[in-house]
Amino acid sequence: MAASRSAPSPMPETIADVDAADRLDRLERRLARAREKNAILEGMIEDKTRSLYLAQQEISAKNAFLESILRSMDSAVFVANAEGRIVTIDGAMASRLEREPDSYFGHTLDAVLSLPDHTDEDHELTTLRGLLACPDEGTFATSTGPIPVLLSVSAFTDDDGQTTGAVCVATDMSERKQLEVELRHSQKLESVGQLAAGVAHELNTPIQYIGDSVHFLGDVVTDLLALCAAYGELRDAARPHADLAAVVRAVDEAEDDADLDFVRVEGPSALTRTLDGVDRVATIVKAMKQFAHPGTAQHAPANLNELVATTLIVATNEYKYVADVEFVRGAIPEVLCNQGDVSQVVLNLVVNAAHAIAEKVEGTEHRGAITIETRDDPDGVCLSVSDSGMGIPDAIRSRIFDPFFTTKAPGKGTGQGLAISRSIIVDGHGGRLSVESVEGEGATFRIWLPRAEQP
Amino acid sequence: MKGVIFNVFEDFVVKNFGEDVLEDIVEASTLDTAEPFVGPGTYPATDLVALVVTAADKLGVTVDQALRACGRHGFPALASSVPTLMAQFDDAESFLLGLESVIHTEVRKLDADASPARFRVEQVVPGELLMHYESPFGLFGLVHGLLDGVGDWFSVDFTHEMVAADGTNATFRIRFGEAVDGGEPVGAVADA
Ligand code: HEM
Ligand SMILES: Nc1ncnc2c1ncn2[C@@H]1O[C@H](COP(=O)(O)OP(=O)(O)OP(=O)(O)O)[C@@H](O)[C@H]1O
Ligand SMILES: [Mg+2]
Repeated sequence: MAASRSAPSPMPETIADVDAADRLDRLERRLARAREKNAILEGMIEDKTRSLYLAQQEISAKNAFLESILRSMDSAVFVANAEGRIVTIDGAMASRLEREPDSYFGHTLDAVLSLPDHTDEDHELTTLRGLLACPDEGTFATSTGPIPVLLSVSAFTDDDGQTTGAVCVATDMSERKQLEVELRHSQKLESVGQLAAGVAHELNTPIQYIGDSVHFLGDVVTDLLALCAAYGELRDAARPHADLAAVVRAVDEAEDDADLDFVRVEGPSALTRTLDGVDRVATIVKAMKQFAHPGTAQHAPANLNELVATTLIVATNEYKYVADVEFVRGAIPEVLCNQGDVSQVVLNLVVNAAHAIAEKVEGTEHRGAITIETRDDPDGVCLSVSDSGMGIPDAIRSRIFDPFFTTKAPGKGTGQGLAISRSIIVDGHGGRLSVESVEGEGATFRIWLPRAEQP
Repeated sequence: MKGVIFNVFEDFVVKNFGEDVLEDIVEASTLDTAEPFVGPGTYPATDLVALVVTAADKLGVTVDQALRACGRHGFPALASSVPTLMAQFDDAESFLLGLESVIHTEVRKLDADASPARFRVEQVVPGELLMHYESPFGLFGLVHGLLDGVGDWFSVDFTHEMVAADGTNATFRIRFGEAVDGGEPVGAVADA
């Protein structure tokens, strides 16, 4: 066969022709086959391209979906590799880190998290093993300071079941912690409230009849002193009569013994003081009753801006020497409240603010500022009272709402203001109360009250 | 059977005997498939067997010999199609240990239609493997040929012999690093 290709064929024409025709035939078949192969492959490529495109679409949709899930998670989601080093950071909380999330890549998790002090060494954050064994509470470093977080760490494994990394989800617990503190407080308040209610009830009746009796004794003393005066005139009239000398002397001696001049001057004022005291005790008893049952009775729609304005007038004397007050009235709907109770809360907050400023500016020429603001908020109508006072040290922050907790000198504070305020707002109105403070710079108290009508 | 395997066969014939011979073999075989075989396509395994039988007949060798030569010839093409997987293996022994868990597993993942042979590979003693081949096709010659190809690829001498067969399944023993004693000499292939 090969011979026919190289040299002019010595073979008969007919055989050469057959051979050539045969070769041509083969070549044609090969060509046809090659063409068909091409067509099939082109078809396959088209199909593959289409399904690749669709798969790509699907993947990017899935990807976008996953990313949006991660973004909307109110947590930070870290993925650590086999060495326990961060490879990705996601979640809404990632934006609260001190630096750009990428800058933590390659670092171990202790760059962003810390564990409670008593955590033992097996649970460190610097290895994958430690990370997987870490306790479920820690602290997350944000640009505005550390916040408490709930940690949940799960290992991820490759197809062979080897642990190749971990996913660590850190969830903001500050609000929950705050709620826990509030719950503890309200439990404490409840028992103190019950005690106070009992005491108030016991004291109420005696204080009432002590008051009545003191009033009665006051009248008696007035009458008796008038009678004594009349008797004095009678004695003076009897003095010239020698036969009455013995009686007059006896009366003079009795008057001396009774120190009647002193009684005349001091008796009525002693009674006034007693009445004052009784009044004060009655006020305290009333406050205790109030504290025990912050009246839920007379809840009515009220204009919080008006209420604040009136309260500020009442409180003027408390702040005018130390601070300027600015009241920023927000456009707010009416709130459902007991006006008297809420005024008392606002008063407490303003007085506290004034005290905090007084303490700070004492002995200087400076004045402080108190800013009161109202605004409509998703949680209700919000009122904030901010001051530029000395702030609240972290160490006592959790105790300022405790009944009878005060840092003020005896006589200046009873430590009841905030406890009562909390009780009024939280128990009496189903509202909320919060505090923020930077020590040395001031404090902001906020209260939220329910709207009178749901929007 | 995937088109790649058909292409391996075709390439083997063309490289060694020329296009015309392949044309003759295709022409002389009774095939279910009318169109040409392309790599990503899937065709009846009986077509491959028919082609190999015709080829063996035409070339005057046994079917086993033809399959073996074809396997040896085809291994580099298969290996080159999965460069990243091949990079995981430094030597023939680790490659064979990973043949099922890595190579054929990936092949199955990449193409749902692919059903490469199943191998259970066990290391009996260091330097000795038993490969249990499970397949409905019993392409023992092909296994031998591919093993020859593995030796070429990693430039290593090892012997391989079929020590048991059961229908279309079989067990191959592979010994590394010792003088060839009585087994088939490595590289003794019935190609041209
Ligand atoms: C990197 C190397 C390899 C690749 C990419 C590869 C891939 C493939 C593919 C795509 C098939 C066709 C599957 C089908 O038609 O459905 C196949 C079949 C086969 N492979 Fe592999 N393979 C490789 C190495 C080996 C080795 C080293 C051996 C033997 C020691 C082997 C033995 C077989 C056998 C015998 C078949 C035919 C199917 C059967 O007998 O059931 N392969 N392989
Ligand atoms: N605006 C503020 N700035 C700094 N510290 C504050 C402020 N408000 C309250 N405090 C702290 O909280 C404590 C408790 O306040 P609370 O109003 O309950 O009691 P009080 O003001 O001490 O006494 P009372 O209000 O019963 O006369 C205060 O003694 C003070 O230490
Ligand atoms: Mg106070």
